Amino acid sequence: MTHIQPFAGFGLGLRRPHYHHFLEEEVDVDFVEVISENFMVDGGKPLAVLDAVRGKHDVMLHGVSLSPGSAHGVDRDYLIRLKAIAERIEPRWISDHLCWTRSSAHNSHDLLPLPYTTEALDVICENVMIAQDVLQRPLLLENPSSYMTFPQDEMDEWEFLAEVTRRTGCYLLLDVNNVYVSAHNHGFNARTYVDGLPLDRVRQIHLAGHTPGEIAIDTHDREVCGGVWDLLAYVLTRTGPAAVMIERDDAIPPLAELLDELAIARRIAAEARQEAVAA
Amino acid sequence: MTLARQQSRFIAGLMSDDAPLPEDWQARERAGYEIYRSAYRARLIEALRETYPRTARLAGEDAFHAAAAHHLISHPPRSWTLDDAGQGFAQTLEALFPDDPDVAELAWIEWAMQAAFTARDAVPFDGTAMVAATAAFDDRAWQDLRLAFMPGLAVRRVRHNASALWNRLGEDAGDEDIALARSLPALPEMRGCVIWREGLKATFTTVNAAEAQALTAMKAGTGYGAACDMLTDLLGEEQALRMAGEMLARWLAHGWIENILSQIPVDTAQGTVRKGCNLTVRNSLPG
Repeated sequence: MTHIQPFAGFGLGLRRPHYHHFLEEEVDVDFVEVISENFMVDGGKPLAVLDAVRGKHDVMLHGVSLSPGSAHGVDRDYLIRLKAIAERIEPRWISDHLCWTRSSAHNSHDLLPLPYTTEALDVICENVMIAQDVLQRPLLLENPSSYMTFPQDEMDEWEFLAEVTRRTGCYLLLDVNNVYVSAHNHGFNARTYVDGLPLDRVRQIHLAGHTPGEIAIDTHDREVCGGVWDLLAYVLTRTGPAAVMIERDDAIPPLAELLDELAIARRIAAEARQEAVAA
Repeated sequence: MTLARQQSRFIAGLMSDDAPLPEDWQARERAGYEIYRSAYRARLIEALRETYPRTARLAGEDAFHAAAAHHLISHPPRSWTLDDAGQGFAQTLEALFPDDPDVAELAWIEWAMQAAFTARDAVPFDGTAMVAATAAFDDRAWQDLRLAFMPGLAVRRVRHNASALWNRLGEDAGDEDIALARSLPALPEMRGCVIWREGLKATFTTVNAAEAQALTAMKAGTGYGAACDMLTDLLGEEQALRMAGEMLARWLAHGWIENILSQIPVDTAQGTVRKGCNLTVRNSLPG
């Protein structure tokens, strides 16, 4: 399986209200990330837009329907379609989530939590290996935000994710907001989570806003909060170079606002590099 | 309990409040699970609203919400793409709103427009290519002519003014527009609604019911001769002869035809050849 070279860039998720900026202007980003499923279509405007954007920017494919944690196996038709779009646009990499979305009969269209058991570990490792074999490349797996854990959990999420990485050779997309949200919801220390991961496998970092509350919800509908910026600084002093981006999926503001937010990430990354050099 | 069984139960619980939750779940697990349960419903109903915005305005928000919830129970999503969650919704609405067939008709249009929007890219067959391809056709070859239509092209008969409904119920529709759309009377006679993609834009037009029937039949693989017979049965020979050529010319002009599927070798020794269709077509073809 091919090695994925680190890429230290700053990007945004490509969302419909901003298409015209990316098509008609020069947007100051190093890459864009697209939701794979939105472009796994037969033809028409979505593919025309993606082709045009790819002509100007590096693209990462980020999926939500691989369902690698599904005990019913991976959907090979889905994988074939994903492979087709990957061959068309040659993304820098393909990512999905440490989760499951469907049973044998039905699809929840949500990133559902896994029990962190040895059985689930075997299932997800087998599915990731199959996916990587079909796609002929290693995947990046993203840590999810979650709202519940299971009584039968045998290990912590970071231990589970680290073991998936070790067994399958996949890389990590570290969503700093998801660590922050899950730490709040399940009462663990976010830095303990980060420290428990094989940080040399992190190739991409997601940043997003969430709705605070007794149970915090990963809504992607507001700016990144101070606690997540602090955690990003902690992460970036420990990882190697990584591609950092802002995810906004609801209440999408003008592009300029997201670029301002991305500038904060650039500044934090520059400071982290200086700190690493000084150390 | 195996992971497979656990996941099946987890999803069953998202879809039904009555599904039992594991006994070893305490208040904390149940509170977290409720978030997944409400997110599942909200996300899917929102997906239907995004696919069917005009239908939602026509039916009214409460009625649409109830219909969408009903549809998700009777047709829980199976596909990996959220876009498919609205599959079959027009049929659900047909059953739920038997006295308001315009609701289901509009839903069918919105669904077909979405399908056309992302259909496979193809280059339409133009009039010049058609003239060249059929230059040597005799009556038998015209009879046997079959057509491949552009990906995403869809047709059905409608009882309501599709254009008026569509235009009244756009994104900027106010209460008055919606009220006017709801009060539109049924058409004096059935029409056909045809949906296709022009370049990157999905669009639709209406045709008379006989043409819709011929188009439906040819889309299903019927030959041109049999489609002409159908027109003759519906309209009488004189009108059918005129329409057969006009309709083929219109299909070409709109870019509905992707290719000629088959040109069966001419064998004049077999069967009876119907007269007329070929000349009418030749006189009507563009280019």
